[in-house]
Amino acid sequence: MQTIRIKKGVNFYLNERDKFNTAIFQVDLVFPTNAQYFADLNLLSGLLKKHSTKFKLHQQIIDFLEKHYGANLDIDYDFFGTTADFSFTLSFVHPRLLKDSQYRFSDLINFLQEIIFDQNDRVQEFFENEKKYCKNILKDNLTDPQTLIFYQALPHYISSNQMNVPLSGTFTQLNSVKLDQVYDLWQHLLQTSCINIYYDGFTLTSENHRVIQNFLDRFFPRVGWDLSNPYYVETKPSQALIEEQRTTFKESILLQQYYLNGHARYRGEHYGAWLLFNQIFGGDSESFLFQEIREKCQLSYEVYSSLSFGLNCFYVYATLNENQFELVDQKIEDTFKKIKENAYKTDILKNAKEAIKNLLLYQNDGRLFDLEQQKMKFIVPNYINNEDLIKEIQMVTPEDLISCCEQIHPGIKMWYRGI
Amino acid sequence: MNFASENRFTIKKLKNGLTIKLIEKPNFKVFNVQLIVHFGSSNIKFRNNSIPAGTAHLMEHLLFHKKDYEIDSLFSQLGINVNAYTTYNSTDFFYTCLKRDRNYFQRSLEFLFDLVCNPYFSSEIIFKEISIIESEMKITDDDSEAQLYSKLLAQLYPGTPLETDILGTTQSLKQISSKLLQEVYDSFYQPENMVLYVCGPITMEQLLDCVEKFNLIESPKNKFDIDQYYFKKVPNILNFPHHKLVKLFYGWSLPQQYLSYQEALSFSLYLENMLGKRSYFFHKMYNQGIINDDFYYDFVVEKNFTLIYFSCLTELPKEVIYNTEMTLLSHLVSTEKFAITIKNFIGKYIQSFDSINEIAAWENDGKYNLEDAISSLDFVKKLRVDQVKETATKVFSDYQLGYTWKLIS
Repeated sequence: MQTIRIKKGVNFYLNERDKFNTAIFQVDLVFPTNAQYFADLNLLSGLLKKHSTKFKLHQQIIDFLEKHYGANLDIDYDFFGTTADFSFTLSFVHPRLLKDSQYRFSDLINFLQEIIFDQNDRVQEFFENEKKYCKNILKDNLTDPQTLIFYQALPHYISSNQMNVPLSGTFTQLNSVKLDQVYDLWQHLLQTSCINIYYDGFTLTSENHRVIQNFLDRFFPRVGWDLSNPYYVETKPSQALIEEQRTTFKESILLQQYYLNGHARYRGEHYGAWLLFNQIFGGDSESFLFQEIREKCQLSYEVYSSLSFGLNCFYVYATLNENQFELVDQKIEDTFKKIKENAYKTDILKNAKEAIKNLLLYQNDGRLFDLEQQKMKFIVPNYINNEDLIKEIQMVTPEDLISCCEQIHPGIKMWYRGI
Repeated sequence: MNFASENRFTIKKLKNGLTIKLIEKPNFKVFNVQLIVHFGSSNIKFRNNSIPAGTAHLMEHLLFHKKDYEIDSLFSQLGINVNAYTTYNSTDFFYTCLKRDRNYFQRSLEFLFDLVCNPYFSSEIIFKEISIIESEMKITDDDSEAQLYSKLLAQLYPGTPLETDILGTTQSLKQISSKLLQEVYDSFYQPENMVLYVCGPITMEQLLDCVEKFNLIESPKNKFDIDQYYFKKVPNILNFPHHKLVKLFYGWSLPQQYLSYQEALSFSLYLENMLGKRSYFFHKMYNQGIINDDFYYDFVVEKNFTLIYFSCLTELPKEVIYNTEMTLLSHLVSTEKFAITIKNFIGKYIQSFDSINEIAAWENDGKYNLEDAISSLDFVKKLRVDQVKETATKVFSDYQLGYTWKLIS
């Protein structure tokens, strides 16, 4: 992939490959944020998706589809630590496959800029609808036991920058947002965001290059944010034990969250060791937790561990019978001990390395992975790419995993008993 | 267009009865491999004996247990995570792996056949695995989507295996013995009743070279009849809480057991045109605040039942159901709009061949499979609006409504 830096805060990634059936043109607006804006951004995302694509610009979409096979516009809102982005992705069949699907690059740009800069006069009419919808989705999500237990854990996080709220925003936040705030936020983001443009599966002609330059000069005549702030959230789970009897769910759930002290950063230094630590702890069906708790003792159908760099925690989730909390708790402690004492066969570490390597190489073959990796490189300081990560993983020793254990400290313990 | 040459599909039947299907993707670096056994939760009879509910799913779990070694560990040596799932009509064992040397791929296939073809059913393991499945049942009970869909099927097809969840019940699982499992296994798990599906950078010749080394035993060719399930015609009285937010599942079962692939495809395009996210129906209902983006539908054509179902969050379920039915019956398809639906289908179809998982989904899509899907492109290009209307009239002529809901707030 070729990277062209157009000006500060504006990057252009070009990939002229024709291996895939799909061609993609994507524009990302990347900006720093915090929990104060979660509800606003959730609503803004809904308004951009629905009102731009389904209503005012509906006819333009239809025209576009008429011209291009399988053409599709996706508008996504993603969040990574303290950085968020809106991405506008146009995808359609690669021109080499359908001769009657030729297009001009300037059409794509024109189409996209109308969507990004659409000032829809019907927004007021739909705003309350969207607000109701966001709350309904949140209510519906909370009928899922797993989502609910994570949601209920959030207030027990100690957070110096108030990042312990759900990404959708809370009900209180959603209730208080006004349309003017959302509109002002969008204008602000258009003025200040960093812009990443991905152009995948095309050939870049000088004419196309000129069209991009005009687009940027016309609509983004400013300098983007300095995103060199580290990917780091100052949040950690408090030490608490929460036991509850649920009246609506059948399953009993154990959620044990630990905070990561020190060097744990997404794709940062020691990331390979953290991946391996999680993999052998409870990452897959070969892990200590799965083998011991499910396969050997039949205490649980679903048991796994995971790392959340957003919340700066390592956690274990298990569904189990209501009287087995202490037993599973003990098994988790035993797993830490096993890793600390290096009491396992060398094959386990070797196999885990192989599994992660496969996973990373498998990702590399994915259609959208290159784009995702470019974006993360831009957002996450000192981002380790997959190739380097594979090399790093091969170097990880049992001592590195012991070091991971030492960085993990007990946090919230939640025991929910089912009906 | 060189789409066909880039996605070469071949099918081969071995002497022992095993069917092999291959999509060659020479540019890919990964494989998707599946061993599909045509035995699912709706197979409830063999040799005039009945099979307790949940047997197929329990069998899937038990095959991962071996007498004196762990199958997961074998795959783990290759860095592969193997998994399986059970549906109404089949059990599918699958993994994805990287392109390395021939020996690596050969070994992965060897482990897959070991997983499926070497059962070990001890009473102790059966007892333990049933306790795991009971835990899985609680998770399914708490999953509102899964529950609403199961209830919808139970409502539309009472007295059939669709009335009971794929997992079975605590009572039905107790009736399963190791002897019964072995007999059921011997009947259904035979090469004649299996398909090996591979998508990736390999030719049929190379694949056959790998598979033929396994010496699968040719077993007696049992014929399994597939029972057809017809809905029971009952009057519907729509009853919902007044102005409360509910998660609604509703749908219509259809009597067309012998719907051809082309008819099913035409009807899918009709549904997308009439009820998809770009339809007049969706815009109207959205503008009125009755439904929102979570609205979706699925057209399910299984070997033994046909169903269209819908899901959404709404405070006005009666209006949603009424408007959906009226739209389905209206047959108001504009030629202009339909041309776009077709173009979009063709594009999405071609794009789906970028992903080995999406290609695999064609093979697992209920009654129809990859050889049907491969023919889609030529058929859809020639499809006319009047043909689609005619098919819609035929398919949606006799039907039975079913609905379930869960109170959200």
